[in-house]
Amino acid sequence: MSPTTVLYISQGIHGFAYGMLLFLLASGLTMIFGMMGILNIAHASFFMLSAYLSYTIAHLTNNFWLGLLIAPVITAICGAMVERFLLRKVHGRGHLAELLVTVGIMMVILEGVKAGWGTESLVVKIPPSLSGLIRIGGLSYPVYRIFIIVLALAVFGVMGAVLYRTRLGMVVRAAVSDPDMVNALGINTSLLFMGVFAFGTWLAGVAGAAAGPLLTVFPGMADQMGMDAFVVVVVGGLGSLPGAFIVALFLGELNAYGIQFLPRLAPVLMFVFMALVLSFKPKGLFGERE
Amino acid sequence: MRIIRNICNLFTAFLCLSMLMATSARAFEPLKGDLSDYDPNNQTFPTSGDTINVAIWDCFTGSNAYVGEEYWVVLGFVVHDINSQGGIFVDGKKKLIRIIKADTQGKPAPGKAAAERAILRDKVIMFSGVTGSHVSKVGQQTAKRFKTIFMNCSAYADSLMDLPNFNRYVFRTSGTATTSGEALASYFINRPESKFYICAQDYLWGHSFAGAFKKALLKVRPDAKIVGEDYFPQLTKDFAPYLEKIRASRANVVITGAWGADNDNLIKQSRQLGLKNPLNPGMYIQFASPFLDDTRPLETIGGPAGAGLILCSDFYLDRRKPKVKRLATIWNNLWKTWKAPYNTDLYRWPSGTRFRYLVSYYWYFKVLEEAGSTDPEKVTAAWEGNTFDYFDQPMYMRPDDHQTIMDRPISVLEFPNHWDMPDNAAPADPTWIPAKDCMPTFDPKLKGRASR
Repeated sequence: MSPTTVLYISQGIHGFAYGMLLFLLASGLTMIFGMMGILNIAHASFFMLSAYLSYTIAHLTNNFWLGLLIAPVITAICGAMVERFLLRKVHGRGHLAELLVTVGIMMVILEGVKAGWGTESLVVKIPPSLSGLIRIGGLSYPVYRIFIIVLALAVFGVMGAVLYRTRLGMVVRAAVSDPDMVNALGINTSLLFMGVFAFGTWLAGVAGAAAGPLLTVFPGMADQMGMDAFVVVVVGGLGSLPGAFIVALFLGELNAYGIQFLPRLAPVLMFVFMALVLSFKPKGLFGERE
Repeated sequence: MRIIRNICNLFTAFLCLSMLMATSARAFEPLKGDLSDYDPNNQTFPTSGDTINVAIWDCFTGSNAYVGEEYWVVLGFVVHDINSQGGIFVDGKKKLIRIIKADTQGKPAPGKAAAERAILRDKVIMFSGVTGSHVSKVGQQTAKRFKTIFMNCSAYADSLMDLPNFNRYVFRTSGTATTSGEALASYFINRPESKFYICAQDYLWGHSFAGAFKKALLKVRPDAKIVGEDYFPQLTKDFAPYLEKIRASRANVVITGAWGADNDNLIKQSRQLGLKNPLNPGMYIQFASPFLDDTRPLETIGGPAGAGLILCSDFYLDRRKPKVKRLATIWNNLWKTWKAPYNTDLYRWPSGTRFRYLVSYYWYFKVLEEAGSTDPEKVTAAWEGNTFDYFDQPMYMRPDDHQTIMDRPISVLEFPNHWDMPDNAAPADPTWIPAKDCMPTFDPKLKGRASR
C-alpha cells in the first residue's frame, strides 16, 4: 500500500476506535437520559469514578481484567443508590430538579475522587495480552484499540439483543413508555427503573475502565468525554440505541478525517453537525420523542 | 577636647560594627535552616503576631489542582527553611512568614476574587502563580490596583510584560514563549535533526511557543523545515489522527508545549501507536517540550520509551552544581518520609517545575530582606536590576520590564538515568544556552522606565 493509502485507512480505523469508545459511554446515557428521560449530568462522572476504581483494583491485584470486571459493578451499585435515594425523589419535578441533583452528584464524585486519589494523573497500564501492534501490509495498529472496538461491538450486540429480542427488554421499553400501565400489570417499575439506571451506570463504568489505559485517569476525565456523549445521544435520537451507535461512529470518523483535512475546524465539526441535524430533525436522527 | 573626640570616634566605630554584625546576623541563607521536620501534610504557620503573609495564587481545584499542590510543597519548604532561621528582618524586626492558599480555579473571574480576598482579608504582601496567561493578566491588574507585588512564576505569554500590560508591581521569574522557543531552536544548531512538526495546544501559549520556535529556527537553521503544524484543543481525548499525520510527515522531532493531561496523552498515545524516529528507527519519535520534567507521561510510557525526549525547561536541576546537588539530596531524603498525596514521583526531584518556583521564592525573600521593608515601592526598587545566584544559576531582573534574564538549559532524557528513578527516563546533564541567545522580548516603549 502507498503511504497515502496507509494514512487514510489508518485515520478511518482511528475514527472507528474513537467512535466506539464514545458509544461505550453514550450507550449508558442513551438508557438513562434517552429512554428513562432522566437528565443525568453526572453520567461522565461515573465513567471517571470507574476509571479510578479500575486503577486501584488493577494496582492492588496487578490484574487489569479484574479492574475491568469489578469497577463497573461497584459503579453500578453507586448508580443504583443514587437513583433510589436521590433521583427518584425529584424525577417527577422535571429536568431542572434532576439537573441540580446530578450537578451536585458530579461535584461530590469529583471532590471524592480528588480526596481519595489526589489530583495528579494516574497510570493504568495496558495488559501484556493487549499490548503491541498488529501489522497488516504497511499498516500497524495497536491491539488495545482493536480491543475497544470489539468490546463496544459486543456491548452493542448484547444490548440490542436484550432490549429488542427479550421479554425483559420489552418490559423495560414498555415501562419507559407508560410506567403506570406497566405498574398496573404487577411489575415493580421502581425496581425496574433502578435496575435500568444501574445498568446505564454499569455501561459508563465499562467505558471508564476500558478508557483508562488509552486516556489519562485524572480529575478532568469527565469533562473530557461528557459533552461528546450528550451530543451522541441527542443527535442519535433520545432512546435510540442504533442511533447512538451510528452517530458515535460518524462523529469518530468526522473527528479523524476532520483533523486530517480541516485541522483548524475539526473541534467544532461535531457541534456543527449537531446544529444541522437538530435544525432539520429536532428529535435527532433516529429519535421518537423530543 | 581630644579625649572627647576619641571617645566619640570609638563610639561611632562601635555603632557601625554593631550595625554590620546585626545586618549579617539577620540575613537568612537558603538551606541553612532546620528542614529535618518539614512535611507538606503538616505545615504550621504562626497564627498571631506580626507576620509576612504571602499567597499561592493558582489552581487548587479542578483538573490542574496539582499545580497548586506543587506550589504548596515548594513554598512550604522555603518558608520552613526561613522561619526556622528566625524569619526575615523587615520593617525593623524579624518576622515569620505565613502562607495563604488563593484558589484561581484556573479562571480569570474566580482568580480575581481570590487575589482580592488574599490582599484585603489576609493582608498578603505578595501573591504568586499562575497557570494561564489569561489569569495572569487579571493578577497583574489586581496587583496594580492594590499596589501589591505579584510574582509570575508560570505564565509564559510574551505580551504579559509589554507596555499595555506591564506595571511596576509585577515581576516575572519564569521564562516566556520566546525564551523557550529560542533556546530550543539554538539547541538544534549543530544537531542532525532537520524536520520538525509542530503539534501544540490551541491557545495563546501553544501558538506563542510554536511561533517563537519557528522564527528562531529560521534564523539559526535556515536549512531546517517545519513539515507540519497542528494545534489541538485543550483536553483532547484521542491524539491518534494527529499522530498519524506526524508519522506520514516523517518528522524527526515533534515540537509541543502541551502540558497536563494533553502532555500525558500525546506522548502515551504516540508510543502506543509505535511512532518511531525516522533518523533512528530503533527509537521512538522525539518530542521537545518545556514540560517533560513531569514524571506522569514518563511513568506511563516506561523507561526505554522515554529516552530521547527533549526537555527545554527554564530551570533545570544541573547536578554538576554542588548547591543544586545538595538541594536535591535534602529534598529527596525528606520526600521519602512524606505521606499521600505528596509521596508520588511528581513531588520528587527531578520531576515537575518546582525548581523554578523554589528559586523564585528564595529570590523574592532575599529581595524583601534587602529592601528591609514590606513597602511594595521599596521592594520594587530593590528587585529592579537585582541578581540572585545562590544555586549557581545567575538570574538578573531586567529593571525596565521586570523579566528574568538567565542562561537556559536543554536536556535530553536518558534511560537508565543518574537520578534515583529506576523505572523512568530522566533528564541527562543539560546543555546550557547562553542568555543572549534566548532573551525575553522587550517592548522598546519601556526603555529607560526604571531610571525615570
